[in-house]
Amino acid sequence: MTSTMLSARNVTIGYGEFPVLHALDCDIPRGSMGSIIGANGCGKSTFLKALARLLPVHQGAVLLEGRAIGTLPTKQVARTLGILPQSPLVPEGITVEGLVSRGRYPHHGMFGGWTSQDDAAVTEALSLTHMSELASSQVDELSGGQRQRAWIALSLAQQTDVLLLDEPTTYLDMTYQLEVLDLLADLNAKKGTTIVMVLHDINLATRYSDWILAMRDGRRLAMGKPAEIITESLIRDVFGMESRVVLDPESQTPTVMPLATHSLRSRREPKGQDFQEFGGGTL
Amino acid sequence: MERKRGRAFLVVAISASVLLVLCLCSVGVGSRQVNVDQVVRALSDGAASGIDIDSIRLRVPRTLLGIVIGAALATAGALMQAVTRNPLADPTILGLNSGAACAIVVSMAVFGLTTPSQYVWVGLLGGTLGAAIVWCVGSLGRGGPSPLKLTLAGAVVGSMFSSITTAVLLPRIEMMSTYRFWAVGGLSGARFSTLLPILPIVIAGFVCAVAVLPGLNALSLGDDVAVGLGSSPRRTQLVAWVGAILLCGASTSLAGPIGFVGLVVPHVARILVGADYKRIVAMGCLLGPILLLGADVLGRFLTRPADVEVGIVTAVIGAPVFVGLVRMAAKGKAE
Repeated sequence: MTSTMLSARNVTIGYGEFPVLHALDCDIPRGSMGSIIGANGCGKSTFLKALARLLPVHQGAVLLEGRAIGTLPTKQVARTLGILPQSPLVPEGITVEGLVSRGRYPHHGMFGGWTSQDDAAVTEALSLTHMSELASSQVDELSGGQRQRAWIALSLAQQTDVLLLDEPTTYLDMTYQLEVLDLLADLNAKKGTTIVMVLHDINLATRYSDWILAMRDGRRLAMGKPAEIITESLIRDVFGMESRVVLDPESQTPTVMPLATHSLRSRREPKGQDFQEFGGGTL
Repeated sequence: MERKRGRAFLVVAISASVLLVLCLCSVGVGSRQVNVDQVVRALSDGAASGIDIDSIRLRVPRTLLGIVIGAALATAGALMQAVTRNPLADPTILGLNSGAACAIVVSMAVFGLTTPSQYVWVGLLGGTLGAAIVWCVGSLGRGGPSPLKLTLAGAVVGSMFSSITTAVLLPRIEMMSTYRFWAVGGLSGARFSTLLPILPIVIAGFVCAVAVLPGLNALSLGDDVAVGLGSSPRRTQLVAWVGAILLCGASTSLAGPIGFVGLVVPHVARILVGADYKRIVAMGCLLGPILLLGADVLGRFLTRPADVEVGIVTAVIGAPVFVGLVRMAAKGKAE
């Protein structure tokens, strides 16, 4: 169960003193769900793309089930590993079902026709994402959450063992963020799909991840179980931010509380006499 | 979903019937009036003869040419729009029409070409050259050919060729009058003898198109998704480009630069059958010939016994139809 699904060996992208990715190593266990976190521009999206062979690595290698991903036929890789990039294009006039059925591309030969297996995969993907009702709707008429679910359904129709997602919750309301992550957690639990996400929201990352990879300046700072690695000093190193790490009473996972900054504190300064109204506090 | 498939079937059935009727009209209608059984006799009885019969038989290659070119231009338009991700892309953006025009004009001036059968090969050569230059210029720089770079390269190379064409034509008035007939674009020059040698090129173009359609579907989701699905965007673009060159090059060399078909037909097809490029191209192969033959028949019918070339009529009747369809689609969406 603890075998490695996907791993990076000394992965370097870019040249010179400040490469985009610098000698990254990591092993992603089969059947796990994990997140890559880091500040803007730290290279986390680049790393995800490198894992999915969307970007060539200049040094090192990405191994999919032990074999160098760059040496495998790309269509074969696509039957094992799927990626949902950050802002995919929506073709004009496409329906949800039309979009989802494009996930079957790697399962077709050059002139191969549509099979009942394809139908079954699309139907299952639609039902797992609760999109069956909307199958014949136009994608560009959907809400943000529905649209994201449609894209995830496309990835599910691809029927891969590994699914990489670049910020799947961006631009979504809190409810939809949880909905998307619950869906992925379900998929991970029921089908054993290995899931790797780039997540902005560190507290959601700790809630939903078996492991977290923390990056800064294209380097790996730490990787491990959230409860073991998420500390105040790691958050300082990753985001350059002072914080308190407490246990989320709801999920029993570490939660990062940023310390009040100077401007926040000054907004809470008593302007007049009713300081108590703001709850006092320990300023 | 079932209802949708039923609708698509209906659309195809109606289009196919319309095309069939237009084929018969195209063979039957012209400056010389004939009746239905003469048409039937001319087509079924090889031994029949007479002026009417002969003129009907002359219209057969013209009709076939209309079908071939209509399908070729519609397919090429769909390929272009997919590769450049530009809904306004058409063969003009390839640099193909301007390249062909330039080659023909230059060879008229330098080698004294005068007959349409000579234009065919010169036009094909010039068109291919033009499209190849656009591809190369559009591939320069980091990241290879991007939709935007290809579109810009097409515009730049196109205007360069047009300038050369104008520069060569301006001082040669007698050449201008020969050239302008070619430049309008039409089916009236159709002969089996010119159509047949070009046919393999058209077939090669369609093979490229069919092979690349699944890749275009993947490509339309963005390069990253396409790679993630195991497609190769660069190869898809290249094969589609080659296919479009073959299809447009063949059409332009046979019938001159016919605009509008390649631009509009893919959009109409998309409105009718959805975003799948396999369906768009299949539908385009019905709609392209419908538009072209319809325009050709109308041109012959309205100005009898004269003949208005199809290059002029397509836009005149096509534009209002297109506007109507888009408005209908927008309305359907709003409801």
